[in-house]
Amino acid sequence: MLGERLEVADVADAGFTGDRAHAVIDPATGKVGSAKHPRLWGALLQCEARYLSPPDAGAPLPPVRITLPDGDETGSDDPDVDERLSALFGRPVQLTTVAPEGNGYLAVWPDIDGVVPDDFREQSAVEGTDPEGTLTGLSLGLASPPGTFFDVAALHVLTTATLERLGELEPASRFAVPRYRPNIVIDATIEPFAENGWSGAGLRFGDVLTASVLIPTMRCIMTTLAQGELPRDNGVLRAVARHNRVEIPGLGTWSCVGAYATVTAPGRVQLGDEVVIDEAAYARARS
Amino acid sequence: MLRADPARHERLDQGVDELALGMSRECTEVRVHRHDPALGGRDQDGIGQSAEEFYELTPCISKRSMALLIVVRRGPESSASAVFLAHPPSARHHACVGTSPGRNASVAELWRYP
Repeated sequence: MLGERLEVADVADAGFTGDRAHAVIDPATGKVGSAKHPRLWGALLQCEARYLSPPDAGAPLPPVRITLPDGDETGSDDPDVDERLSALFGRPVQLTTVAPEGNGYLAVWPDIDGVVPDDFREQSAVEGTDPEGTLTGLSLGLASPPGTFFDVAALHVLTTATLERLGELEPASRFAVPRYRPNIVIDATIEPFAENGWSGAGLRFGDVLTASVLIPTMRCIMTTLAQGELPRDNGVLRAVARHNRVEIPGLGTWSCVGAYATVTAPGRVQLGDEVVIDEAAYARARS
Repeated sequence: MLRADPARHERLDQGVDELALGMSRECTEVRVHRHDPALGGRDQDGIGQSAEEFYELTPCISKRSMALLIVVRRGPESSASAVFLAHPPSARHHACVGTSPGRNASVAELWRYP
């Protein structure tokens, strides 16, 4: 579901407090519903979710208010929330904060050259077809605390410079922040796609919060989907495949925007906070 | 299919906690790639290994002063890959050493997805 824009956030080992805490489960398959399988779950990106009060680390999560595509609202604590969501998706679903066994989901990889390594596509493919591309079976939370609903890592950053450059290169598409679902957008006088070279680098936000960058963020069909005022546009992903393919050691070459990171020192971050990126990262980005 | 051994898990947790995270999951194969920042992260001396071989390698990992990229390939029913970047204690000190003049960076947007 679409997220909420914040002015301040408390960040712990598991990322922004309350981030990716809820998911829709298909009881028939035991899999997590993901908009990466648009035919079944594309409506997730037509829903908006926001906490009714700020979540506190270590405390039970407050209820989430969900705005459905027709403008009606339901709540994570409403007795009929599953019924409302089941009606939306046309199948029985359950809203949960508990990751299912395996934390698996299905994702479609569109047939765009260079988006994903061929061997990954082949090895991850599952039975079934999808008109939009290759249907694959993946697992959530691969580099984040067990039982979470993050795609890969608990923190996701990207720079305005990268999005601006993509817009210059492909003016027909809109490279809007919500397509990429980051946690922290960094405004910096920096080279576009600098995130490509940040793996292993440290980031500091404000005075306390620090993170360590893992890998560039591999991009998928999610960035192409309609959401809010943004139209469906495969050109968004095609542009990244054309202009920013990155070799990730051990994982092949992917189309990337932004970077995944892991929290190394929890803390609070707020708009306008200084972001410090270590020198080694700059050196790699320039090389 | 191999499963993480709790005792080994604890040992991993002492120096390279991201690795412990990886080992807490079922895995069939682990590949280790040296990721040397001084070489732009391009120095791959990765070796396809079994999970058991990986456990034997971990003492070496904790002595290195560089980060290591770890890839865990899970079972055939969900053949996804995972990436873990290990930061030995000595490597953590190099983080956040400062930024150069003229490269002011700031937080422009914050997003949470409940």
